[in-house]
Amino acid sequence: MNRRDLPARTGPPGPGLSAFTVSPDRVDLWLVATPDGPGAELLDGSELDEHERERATAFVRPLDALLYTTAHVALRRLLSRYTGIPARDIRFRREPCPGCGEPHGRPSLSALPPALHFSLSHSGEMALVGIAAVPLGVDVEQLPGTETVEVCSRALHQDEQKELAASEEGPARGVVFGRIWTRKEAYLKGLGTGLSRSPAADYLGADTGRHPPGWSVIDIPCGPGHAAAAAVWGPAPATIDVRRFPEAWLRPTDSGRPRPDTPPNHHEEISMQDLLLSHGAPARTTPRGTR
Amino acid sequence: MTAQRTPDTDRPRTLVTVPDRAALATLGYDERRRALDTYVRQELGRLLGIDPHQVDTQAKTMNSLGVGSIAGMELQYRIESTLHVQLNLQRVLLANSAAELIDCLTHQLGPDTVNSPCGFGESV
Repeated sequence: MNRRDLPARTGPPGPGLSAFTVSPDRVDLWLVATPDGPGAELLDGSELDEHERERATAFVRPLDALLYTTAHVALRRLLSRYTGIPARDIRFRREPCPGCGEPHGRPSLSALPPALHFSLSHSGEMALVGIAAVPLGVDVEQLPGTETVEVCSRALHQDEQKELAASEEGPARGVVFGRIWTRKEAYLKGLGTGLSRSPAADYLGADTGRHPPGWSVIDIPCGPGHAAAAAVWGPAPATIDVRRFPEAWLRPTDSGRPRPDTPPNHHEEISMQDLLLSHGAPARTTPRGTR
Repeated sequence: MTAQRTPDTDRPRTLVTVPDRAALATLGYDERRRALDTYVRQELGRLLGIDPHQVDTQAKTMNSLGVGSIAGMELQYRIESTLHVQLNLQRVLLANSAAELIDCLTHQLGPDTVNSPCGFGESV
């Protein structure tokens, strides 16, 4: 697929296109940045369940705790809007792993709304939520350093290793590794196996025609220092909405600040050069977001 | 001042002293475990940018320590290459504590153990 053929929509959403709904031909991707300064202090974790609060307080590094809390607050509030279930009443469960049957497969909602699938990932200073009508996986990673890439490259498919070795040394190679790894982990999460399946088993490199059949893999531009990707079951979605989750939506809802009742109404152009679609007919993409 | 996450490329360099595998096999279980505890703390400290003494090997899951997929993979490969053992990445990431990994390595590197993937309780 020629990426330059992908049109970029930078105007307001078209008629009939509503946010917070699940559509068979659309994937919604929400980028969430960890708040800093006053924003971090206003982060409202009151809707997290006991397990989430325990996990948040267990982190050794404060920034990890902040990222985890941010990600889960954002996830609950988004799912609340998509399902109509109050954020604090959302209950999660794990589907059985297709590989071993253990309960660490894809996360899902205990109260199953019709055809809603989601995936969550967080790393560094970024979280990513994907929501769709079909199974999907998302992954975001802080870009690794040179030494880490050198050590971890052996985990990749042999042809991915060749592509990595052919890339420019230094930070550029970290970008290539991050791109391959996030596609791979997004796919494995979509599959439901996670890393119980060998990372070397499947090719998610530059040749999109060799990607796992039946899945559409999308690179997501997410800002400096991170790589992100989504893997969606089925043919390439007609629309990929990439939005930035406003920091204000992380705050207590009784503070007078807006709930996430309406989608971000400012538009941010996200470069189409970084969007990759595999197995797809040409797709419309709607890059929108707000800061 | 707002705390900033240290990029992977800028993390402080923690000195890691790799124990000699042959020497480990000559030690009693407890002494071998202490040596491996020190080593694993150093590896985790290097990965996570914290002092090895700050690594809680008993009460913190790998996830709580901050070990994500890439860090877990790096930990796996570093230990495998230095100690010539096999580890299971999924088990490393889902470990209830670093102590589980240390216990497994202690068993694996004893004098009479056959090499097999360190499965954290799986039969070897």
